[in-house]
Amino acid sequence: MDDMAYWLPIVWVGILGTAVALYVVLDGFDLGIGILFPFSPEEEDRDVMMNSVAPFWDGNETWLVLGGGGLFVAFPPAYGVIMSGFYLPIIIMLLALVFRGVAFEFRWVAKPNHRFWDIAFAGGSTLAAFMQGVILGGLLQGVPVKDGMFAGGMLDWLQPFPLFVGLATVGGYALLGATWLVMRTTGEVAANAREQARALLLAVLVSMAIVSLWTPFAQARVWDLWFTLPNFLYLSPIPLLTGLAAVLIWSGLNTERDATPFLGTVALFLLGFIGLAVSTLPYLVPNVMTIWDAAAHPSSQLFMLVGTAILLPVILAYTAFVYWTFRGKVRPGEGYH
Amino acid sequence: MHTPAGHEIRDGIAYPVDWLAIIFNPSFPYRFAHMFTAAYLTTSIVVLAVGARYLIERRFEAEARTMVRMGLGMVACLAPLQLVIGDLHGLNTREHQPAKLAAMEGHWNGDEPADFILFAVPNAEQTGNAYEIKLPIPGLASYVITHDFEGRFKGLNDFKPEDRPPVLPVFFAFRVMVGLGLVMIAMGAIGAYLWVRGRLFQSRAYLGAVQHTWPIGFIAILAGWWVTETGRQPWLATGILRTADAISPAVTASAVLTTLVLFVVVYSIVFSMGIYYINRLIDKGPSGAADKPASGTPSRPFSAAEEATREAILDTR
Repeated sequence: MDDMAYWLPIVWVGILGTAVALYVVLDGFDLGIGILFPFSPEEEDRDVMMNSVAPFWDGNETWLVLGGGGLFVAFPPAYGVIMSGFYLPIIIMLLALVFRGVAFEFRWVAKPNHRFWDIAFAGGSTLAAFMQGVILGGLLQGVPVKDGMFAGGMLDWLQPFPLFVGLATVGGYALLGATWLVMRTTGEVAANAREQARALLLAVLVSMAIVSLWTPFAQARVWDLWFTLPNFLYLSPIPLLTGLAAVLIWSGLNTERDATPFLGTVALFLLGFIGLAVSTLPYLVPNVMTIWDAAAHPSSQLFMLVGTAILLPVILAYTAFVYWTFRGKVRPGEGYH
Repeated sequence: MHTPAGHEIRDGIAYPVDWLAIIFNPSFPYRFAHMFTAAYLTTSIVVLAVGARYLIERRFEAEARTMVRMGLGMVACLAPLQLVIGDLHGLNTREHQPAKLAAMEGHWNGDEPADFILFAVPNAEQTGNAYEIKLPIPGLASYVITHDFEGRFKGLNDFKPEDRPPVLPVFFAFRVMVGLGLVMIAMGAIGAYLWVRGRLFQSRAYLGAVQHTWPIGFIAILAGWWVTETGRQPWLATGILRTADAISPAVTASAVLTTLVLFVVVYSIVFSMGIYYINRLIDKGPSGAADKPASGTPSRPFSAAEEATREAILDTR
């Protein structure tokens, strides 16, 4: 095989994986704030919660654009299958993101009549998270493909496993949001979040266990990958480190180390992501389309790679700069300007 | 997509050959300049109109004069410039998408010079106009497009019926865009004249009319996109891929209809609320923000606008 045609898809799947992982972790915590909104009815608390993510949320969503745009450019056949197969969940997710996005603006100008935008923020965040989980679950379960095109129905995702992964994602993002609040806020908001995080951690661990067990039982390829020697030994650090992260989060919640639970949750998500990548790669659409089957022409991948190589460090640098600028705790009545 | 370049077709799939040719395709500079100018023009008109509204209501007069001067200065320069850019864009369209240009002009017979048609309805057979109102200068449209009263350019009858865009929407959207463009040029010219004579802030007739023009930039942009995107039909990528051949086979019509309805509902809610809130902000005016910083609000586009307003106003004091 031509060298470029072999390596470029690997580089691109690395870039896309990075973008999706960053998206899940970063937008995960700000969607989580919206998911937790209904459990904090006080207006002041909600102001603080929203302020804690206001400088970051739109930057976080750029990773979704890179993920979707990169998939389109680098792997158009996979893009065609995934976007057709999950047409409805994707459009619903985008519309939900529209609602929660404008809520950041409109909620403040609507005051004191901002109730509708509270609902839009909470509902939009929860629905977007749910649909993202549905798409992931549907992909893991496998989509029917014929002649390189999606060959299923529009409502194929309405099945127990995708819907379960949807719920699990809502719980996972809520955990990210709660531990973020523990790290970035004080007083009542932080105390509530600490309580919520404990329950959410348990729910997330159970969900992760179910998904991790369901996938190998449903798919022989994944079973052989994980549960044969010596793979089992090479891969055992992933579940072990996941357990360690869970212990760290729990102990962080019981002490005053406010950053530990959030960092532990990020580690939990990244480990879960690595686990999914191990189960799936080199398939992009599980069991039917590998990264080489789906690759665009090498000249397209190379051209876009040049642009990405220039822009990605710039984006990473300003993202880091924004997080550094707005570091520290948010207090009631205090906003960023 | 309108003027695809830099590719080659192998087995029905387009492969990139020259990326610079793909990006700098024949219509790129015209589209870019036209849209770029349109964005500035639209914003300038909003600033001008809101300033005029304050002056009419005798509120925030110091700020409003700054707004009117800024907005008018931009409109007076950009509106005529946009006419020139649009004309160049039209010449480019004649070369690369002649069917679109014919639909814009309601021009059917390419063997004759074209008159300038103000209003027309195509006949049922789609072979000509059943009804039309022209300017009484023969060959004026030919002059605009070929810069020669006797000039010829392709008419709709030069294209097979299946290669023609829908004429009616393209024809009327083009007239809306150009008509509003002429209004903008008039606004800029009259305003500049009043400004030079030192009567700009006293002319209640001018300010009273201008205060209602805030949406015309948005409408002109939408009309322009309507012209270009409807006018390129039936092609998705001109000459390569027809829109009808580009649909996703697995996505059903009912799914597309469902999401279309959802988009319309969501955008109707978001845009109508947005316009309502923007109006409220305009009504409230710059007074509070100019004197004391807002508190308890997060970093967001509106707060940036509040701050910029505050700084600009403190500078003028």
